[in-house]
Amino acid sequence: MTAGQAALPVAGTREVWRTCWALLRPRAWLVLLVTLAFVLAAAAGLVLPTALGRIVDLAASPTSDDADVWRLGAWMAAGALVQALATGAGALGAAALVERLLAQLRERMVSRALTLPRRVVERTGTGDLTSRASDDVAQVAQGLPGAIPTVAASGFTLLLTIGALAALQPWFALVVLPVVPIQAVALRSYLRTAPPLYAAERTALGVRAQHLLAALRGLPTVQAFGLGALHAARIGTASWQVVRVSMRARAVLNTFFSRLNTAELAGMATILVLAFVLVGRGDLTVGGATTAMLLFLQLFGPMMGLLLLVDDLQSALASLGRIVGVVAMPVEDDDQRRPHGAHPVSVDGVRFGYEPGTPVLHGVDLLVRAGERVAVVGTSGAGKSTLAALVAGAHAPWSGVVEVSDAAHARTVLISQEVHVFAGTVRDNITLTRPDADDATVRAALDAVGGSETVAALPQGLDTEVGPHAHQLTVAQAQLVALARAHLADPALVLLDEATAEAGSAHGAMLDRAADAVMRDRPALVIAHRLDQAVHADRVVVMAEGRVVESGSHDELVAAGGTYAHLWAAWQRHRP
Amino acid sequence: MSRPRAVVSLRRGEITEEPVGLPDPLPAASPRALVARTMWRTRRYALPAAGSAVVHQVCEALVPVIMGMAIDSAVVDGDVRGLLVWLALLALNFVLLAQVVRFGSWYGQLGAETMQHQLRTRVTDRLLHPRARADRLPGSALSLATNDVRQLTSAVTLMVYPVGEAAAIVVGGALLLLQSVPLGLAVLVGAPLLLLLLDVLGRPLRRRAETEAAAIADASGAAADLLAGYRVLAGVHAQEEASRRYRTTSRQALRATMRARGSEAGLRAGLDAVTGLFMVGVAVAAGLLAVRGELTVGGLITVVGLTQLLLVPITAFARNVAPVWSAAQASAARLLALLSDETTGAEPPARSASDGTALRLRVEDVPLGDGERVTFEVAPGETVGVQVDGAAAVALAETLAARRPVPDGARVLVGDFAVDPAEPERARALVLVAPHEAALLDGTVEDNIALPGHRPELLADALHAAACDDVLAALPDGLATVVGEGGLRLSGGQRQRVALARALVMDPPVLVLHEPTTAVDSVTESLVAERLPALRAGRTTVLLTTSPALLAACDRVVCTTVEEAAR
Repeated sequence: MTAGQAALPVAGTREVWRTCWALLRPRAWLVLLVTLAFVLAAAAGLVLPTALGRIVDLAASPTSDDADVWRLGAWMAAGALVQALATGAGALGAAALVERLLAQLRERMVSRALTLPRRVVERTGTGDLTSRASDDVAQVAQGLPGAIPTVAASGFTLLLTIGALAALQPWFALVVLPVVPIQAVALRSYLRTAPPLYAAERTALGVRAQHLLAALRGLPTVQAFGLGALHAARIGTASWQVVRVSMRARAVLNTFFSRLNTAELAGMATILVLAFVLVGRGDLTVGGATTAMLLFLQLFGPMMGLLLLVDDLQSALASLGRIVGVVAMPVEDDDQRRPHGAHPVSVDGVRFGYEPGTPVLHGVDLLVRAGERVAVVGTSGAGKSTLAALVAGAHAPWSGVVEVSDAAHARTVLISQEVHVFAGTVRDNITLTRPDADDATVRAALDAVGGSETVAALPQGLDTEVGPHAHQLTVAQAQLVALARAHLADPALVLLDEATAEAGSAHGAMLDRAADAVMRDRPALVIAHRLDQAVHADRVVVMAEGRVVESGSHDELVAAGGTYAHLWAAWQRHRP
Repeated sequence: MSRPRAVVSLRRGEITEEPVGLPDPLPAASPRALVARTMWRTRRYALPAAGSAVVHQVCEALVPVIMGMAIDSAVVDGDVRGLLVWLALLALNFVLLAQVVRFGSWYGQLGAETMQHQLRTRVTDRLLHPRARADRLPGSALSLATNDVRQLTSAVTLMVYPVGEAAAIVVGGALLLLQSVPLGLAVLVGAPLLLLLLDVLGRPLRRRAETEAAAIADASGAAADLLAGYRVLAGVHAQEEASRRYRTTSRQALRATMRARGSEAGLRAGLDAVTGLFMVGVAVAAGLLAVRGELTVGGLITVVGLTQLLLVPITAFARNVAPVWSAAQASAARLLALLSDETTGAEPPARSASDGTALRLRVEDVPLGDGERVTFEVAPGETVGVQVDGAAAVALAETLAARRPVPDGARVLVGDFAVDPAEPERARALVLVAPHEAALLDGTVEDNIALPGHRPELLADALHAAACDDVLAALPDGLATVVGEGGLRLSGGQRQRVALARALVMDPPVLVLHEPTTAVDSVTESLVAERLPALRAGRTTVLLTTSPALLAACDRVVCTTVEEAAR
C-alpha cells in the first residue's frame, strides 16, 4: 500500500567530505603519519635511478674503482629497503584509516535507516535502503581501501619524481608539457564514455542473474508447464547482452590505454631530445641523462594506475553520497499518536489517505477498552490495514485524533503477514525484543505460544542457524517465532494485521492459538482474514470503503442480518 | 586466419547481435581435459590475441633498450642524424605497442566471453531440463551458471597473457645475454628462482590473508538482512537492538579485515624488498663490469633498464598462471558433474498436445510420509478433492508430477499409462500439476497466462473461473500490466489467481491443483469454488486442499488421515 515512490536524499560532495573528515579528525595524527610514510617511500624510490646514473658516470670516468660502485650499491640497497618498508607501513596505516571510516559509516547508516519513521520508509520502499546498505557499502568497501594507498603512493611518486627531474636539470620539468595535455584529453574522453558502459554492464549482469534466478526458483513451474526452452531463450539473450556490453567497455578501456601509451612516447621523446641538447651544451652528464630516462620510465606505472583509479573513485564517491545522504537525514519522531489516553486505543473521526485528495479512511471511530479484543473485518481495500497502521502510530491522520494510553504508547506490538527471518540463531530471532532474556524466559515465551515442540524439532533447537543462507524455516514456523518474539516483548497493546493469513488452514489453527496467547489479557486489535478470528473477539467492527459500517459482538451482528451476517453466511456455508 | 564472424567493428568494440558459436569443449573425460579443451576450442580468438601479447611485451621490453642505445650513441656523440633515427625507432615501437594494446587483449576477451556464453547455455539447458534434479538450491545453481562458468573460461586468458610474458622474458633474456653472458644468466635463472622461492615462502602468509578475508562476516549482507526486515523490527520496536547487533558484526568484520590487510601489507613489503634488492644486485654487478671496462655505458643502461622492466612479466607469470589454472580446474570439476549427467543429456522431447479426451486417474498406495499411504481413483471428467495438507500434500503432488520416485508397490496410472519419473515428459503431457508457489515470469500478465500450448479460446472463461476479473480491473494496464521480478508487483492473492488462470487455460486432460486459494479472501475463494468445476466439466480435476469451500465444490472428497503439525 505504498503511494508514489519518493527518493531518499543523496549527499553532495561537500557534505561527504565534511562527514568523512569529522570521523577522521580524532585520528588526524595517523593521517599525518600515513602521508609521511608515502612521501618517504616516494623519496626512497628516487635513490635507485639517481645512483644508477652515477654508476654510468663512474663507468665513463677513468679514475673510478670498485669501491665507488659498492658505496652506491649500499645507498641503493638502503633506498630499496626503506621504500618497501615505508610503502607497507603506509598501506597498513591507510587501511586502518579507511576501513575504520567505512565501518563507522556503515554502522551509522544502518542505525539511521532502522530508526527512520515508518511513514518515510513506506514512501520510499525498503528496496532503496537495502540497496544502499548492501550494494553501495560493498561498492565503497571494494573501491576505496584499494584506491587510497595507490592514489597516495602514485601521487607522491609523480610529484617527487618530477621534482627530482627538475633538480637534475630544471629544463626536464618541460616534460610535463607534451604529456599532461594528451593524458587530459584521453581521460576526458574515457570518463565520458566508460562510466555509462560500466553501469550498463552491471545492469546487464543484474538482468542475467534475475532471469536465471527466476527460472531456478520456479523450477517446479518451469518443469510442470514445459517452460524450459522459453526461459533458456531469455537467459541466452541476457547472457549475450552481457558479452556485447563487456566487449564495448573493453574496447573503450583499450583505447584509453593506447592513448596513454602515446603520452609515454611524447614524454620519452622529449627526455631524449632535452638530454641530447643538455649533454651537448655540457649542462648534463651521460649519467644524468640515464637517470632522467630511468626516472621517467619509473613513472609509467603510477601514471596509468592513477588515471585508471579516477573511475573507481568516482563510483565510490557516488556510493558515499548515497550512504551519507541517509546518515545525515534529520531525526524525527516516529510515533504520531497522542499519549495519555484513558483507553488503550481511541480513534475519533479520523480521515486519512496516502496521497492528498485520495482519502482511504473517511471519518473512522474506534474504541478498544482495557483487556478488550476487537476484530476488524471487511473485503480487501476497505481500509483495515491503513487503520491498523494509524493505530500503530505510523501516520498522522489528516483530521481527527488517534489517542492511546501511556502504557500502549510505550509498548505497542504490530505483527503483520510480512514474515522475515533474520540471519542468526532462532534464539537471536526471538530475543530481539528483549536482549537480556535468559534461556528459561525464551523457553517460557515459546511454551506460551505453543512453539516449544516446533523449535525442539529443529536440528539444533534454539541454536539452529536460520536465515537465507542457513536452515530455512517454513512460513508457519517463522510466524511462530515472530509471535514468541512479540510475547517476549510483553506488549500493552497488540495489533495483528492478517498475521496468520498466508499459512495453510491446519497451520492457521496453530497460529491462531499462538496469537491468542499473545493477546490474552491484553487489549488487542485484530485485522481478521478468516472469520473464525472474529468469532473469538469481544467485539467485531465491519469496515467498507473506509468507513465503519457495523459494530457489535459476533452474535449481535449475525442476528442483525447486515453485512457481517452476509459474510458469515458465505464463510459458514462450506464449513463442515 | 580469417576475422571471426562475431566482430562487427573492432574500433568500437561492437559484436553481432546474435551469439556466435564455437566448437563445443564437451565431452571431456576429466576436469583437466575440460579446461584444456575449453582453452583450445577458443583458439580462433586466443591465438591472434597471443600473437599481439607477444608483440606488446616485446615492444615494452624494447623501450629501455632503444633509450640506452640512443644515449650511448647519439647523445654521447652529439649525432643529430643518429638522434632522429633513434627517435623514429622509438615512435615506431610505440605505434606498434598502441595498436596491439587496442586489439590484442580485446580478441582474447572476446574468445573467453563467447566460450563463457556457450558453456552457460549448455549449463542452463541442463539445469532447466525436464528431468533436472529439483533439490538443487537456486543459489548454488546460479553459482554454477555464473561463477563456475566464468572461472573455467578465464583459463582462456592463459593462452594469451602468459604467452606474451614468456616471450618478453625470452627476448629480454636474449638481449641481456648479448650484453653480458654472466649477467644475462643471472637474471634469467636467478629472477624466476627468486620469485618461485618468494611464492613458496609467502604462501602461508597469503593463505592466512585469504582465509581471513573469507572469514570476514559479510557486513553488507548483514545490513541488507536487517533492512529487509525493517517493518518487522519497527512493529516490535527492536530497531535499537538490531543496530547494536549490527555494530557487533561490523566491528568483527573490521578486525578481520585489518588482520587480512596486515598480512597483505607484510607480504607486499617483503616482495618489494626482495625484488628491489635483486635489482640493486644486478645494477652493482653491471656497474662493476662497466667500471672494469667489460661493459659499455650503453650496455649498462640497457641491462639496468631491462632488468627493471623484466621484473613485471616475470612476477605476473609466477603469480597468475597457477591460481587461474587451479581455479579453472575446480570449476571444471563441478561443471563436469552437471554436464556429463546422462539423465539431462538428451534433448527434451517436444510436448504433444492433448487430444481432448478425459482420462481416468488411479493412485495406488502412494506414500505420504509417516507410514501413511493413499489409494484413490478419479473417473474421467470427475472433480475430486483430496483432503491433505503440508508435507503429505507436497509428496502427493510431486509423485503425480513425476518429480519423485514411485516406490515398490505404489503406482500412478493416467488412463493406461503408468507415471514414471524416468520419463516425466509423457506424464506431464497428460497431467498438469500446478505447484502451490505461484512463480510468475517477469513480463506482463498475458505473458504469464498465454504460455506455449495454451487454449486461446478458453482465456476469458479461465480468467473468470480464477476470479481474475477484478484483478485485471485493479491493475493499471489489465492483461498488459508488467508483473515485475517474480511477479512481486502483484499482491500474493493476485499472483495466486493469475497462476490459477494459467493452469486452467492449458486445459490438460488431468489437472492437479495444490492449495490454489490460500492467499485469497473467503468471498473470492467461494467464487472460485463455484466457477472452477463448471470450467473443468468433462475434464479430470484433482484438488489437493483442506479448504472447506473448495472441498464442498468437488464431486467427491478423499480423506487422508495425515494432518501435518508445524514441522
